Amino acid sequence: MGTSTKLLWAKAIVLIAAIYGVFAGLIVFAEPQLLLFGNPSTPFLLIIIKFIALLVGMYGIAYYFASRDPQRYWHLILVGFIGKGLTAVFFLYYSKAGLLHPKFITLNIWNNIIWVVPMAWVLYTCRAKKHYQPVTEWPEEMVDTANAKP
Amino acid sequence: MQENTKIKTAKIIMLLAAIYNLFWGAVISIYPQILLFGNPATDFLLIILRCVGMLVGVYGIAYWFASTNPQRYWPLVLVGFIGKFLGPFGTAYYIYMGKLPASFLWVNVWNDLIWLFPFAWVMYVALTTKQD
Repeated sequence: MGTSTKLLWAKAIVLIAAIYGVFAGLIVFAEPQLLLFGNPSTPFLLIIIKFIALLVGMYGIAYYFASRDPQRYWHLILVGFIGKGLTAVFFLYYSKAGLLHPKFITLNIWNNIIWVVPMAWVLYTCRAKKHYQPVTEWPEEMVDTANAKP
Repeated sequence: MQENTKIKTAKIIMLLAAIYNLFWGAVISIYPQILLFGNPATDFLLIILRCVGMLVGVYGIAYWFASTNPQRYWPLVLVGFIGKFLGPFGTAYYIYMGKLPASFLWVNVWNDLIWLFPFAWVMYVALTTKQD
């Protein structure tokens, strides 16, 4: 796969993550009951779930910026990757401990686990030096230094 | 104020935000009961609060990256600003509806309100100064 094709894929993956993040955030914010999975609904619990939705949706905006230039904004993707990795382990731990409804595993797969490999690939693609776009214009001061007579 | 001083101040603000978020995130993750405000401590609620703590901490990592180069990573500052702007409105609404105790607003004062102006200023500096 050529460099430009890889970059296009990276942009597409991060853009899909952005749309997914905003969409998931909006849905959970509008219907926090979706995440209860049989747990008793209290106003406080619903508000806290809405707060999580806000954090998830907001990071969708960060992914949108990253999708425009994944090489420049690879840190944004790294933070998302860390978030998805930690959340995946977090929910797996509590699911295994029997403290979460089994449906949380499905939720975890869609929200976190399926994103770990694509995000890692995007990070690899955007950080690998061989994929850096060549510098076509040198800063003026560097040109001046190079042209300066000894 | 000199451009360099502005950028240094912006970096310090974002570094403080990063430290604050990492600290607050760790506190909530380790001791989620701190946010219960009299609500019954069910296993599920504590897990959800721990999840909040983890996400708050992850935002701390984002702010740390933003502190290394606010001009480049201004979208991270923008995302933080939007969250900090919307949070207090939500709390005020639920306090008005009687679903949250008024004391909950203190959480927003320290987590959101005091950061609004500094974040707005960092974005202004990041977008109006020349990138090195």
